Amino acid sequence: MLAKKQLELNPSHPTIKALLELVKETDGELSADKLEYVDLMFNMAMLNSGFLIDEPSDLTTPLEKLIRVGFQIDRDQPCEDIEIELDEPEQPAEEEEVDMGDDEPEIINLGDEL
Amino acid sequence: MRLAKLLRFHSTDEEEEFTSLDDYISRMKDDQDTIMYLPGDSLSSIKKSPILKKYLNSGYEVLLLPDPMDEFTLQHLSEYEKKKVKSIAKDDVNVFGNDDIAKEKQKKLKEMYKPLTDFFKKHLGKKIEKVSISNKLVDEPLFILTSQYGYSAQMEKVNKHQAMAN
Repeated sequence: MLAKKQLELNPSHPTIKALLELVKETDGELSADKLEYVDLMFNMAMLNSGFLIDEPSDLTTPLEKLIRVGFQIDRDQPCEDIEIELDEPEQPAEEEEVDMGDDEPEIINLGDEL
Repeated sequence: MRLAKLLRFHSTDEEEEFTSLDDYISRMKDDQDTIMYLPGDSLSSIKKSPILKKYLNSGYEVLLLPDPMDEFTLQHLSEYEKKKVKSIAKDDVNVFGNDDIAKEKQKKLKEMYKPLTDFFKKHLGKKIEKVSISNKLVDEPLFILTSQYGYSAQMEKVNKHQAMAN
C-alpha cells in the first residue's frame, strides 16, 4: 500500500513561477527537456519528503544532463573516443617472447608422464 | 494513554535533552492548539527537511521523531491534554494563514496557479492524489505531504522494505 500524496507547490519559488508562465504559453504541452526537469523536481521532492524513488536513474540521468549544462556542454552530446598516438614499441618486447617459448614444452612433458 | 506523560522526544527547542509532552505544552505559542511532530530517518535529516523551516522561522516548536516507533506511538495518541497531536508532514496541520487577508491571498494564488496545478495533475496522474498551492514552504519548489488518513512517507518506506524482504 502506498501513501496518499498531496503535491505542494511553493508559489514564491522562481522555478515554480517560471513553470506557470511556460505552461500558460504552451497550453501545457511542454518540450521533452522541460518535462524531464519537471520529473526531476518531482523525484527530488519525493526524496526530500521522505519517500523512496523506484529507479535511481530517474534522478541520475537528468542530473547528468544538467551537469553538462553547468559545464556549457550540449545536453545530448555523445561520448567520443579520444584518438591516442602510441609510441613505437622498443627492443625489450623481444625478450618476453623467448621466455614464453620455454614454458610451453614443460606442460606437454607432464602429460606424457601420466 | 496514561503512559503518555512518560514519553520523551527530541525537539527543535531542546537540542541536547529530551522533552516531555507537558514541557512542550508549557512552551506552546498562545494561538497554538496542536502538538506538532515530524518523523524521519535520522535527527540530522529531519532537521534539514524542507517542511520544517517555516515552522522554525515562525517560532513553533516541533518534536523530531527519528525512530519509526515514535511515529507509531504519537499517531495513536492523536490527542494529549486536549491538544491535538499531528505530523507536519500530513495535510491537516493549519497554523499558517488563518486570518482573512491571508485566506483571500491564498484564494487568489490558487486561481492564478490553476494552469500549473492542472498540468501537474495531468502529468503525474496516479502518482499523486492532489495538487495544492502551499503556504508552508520557504526555499524548496515542491514538497509532498501525505493524507491524514493513510500511510506516511516513513510507513510507505518501511512497507516497501518489507515487500522486498519477502
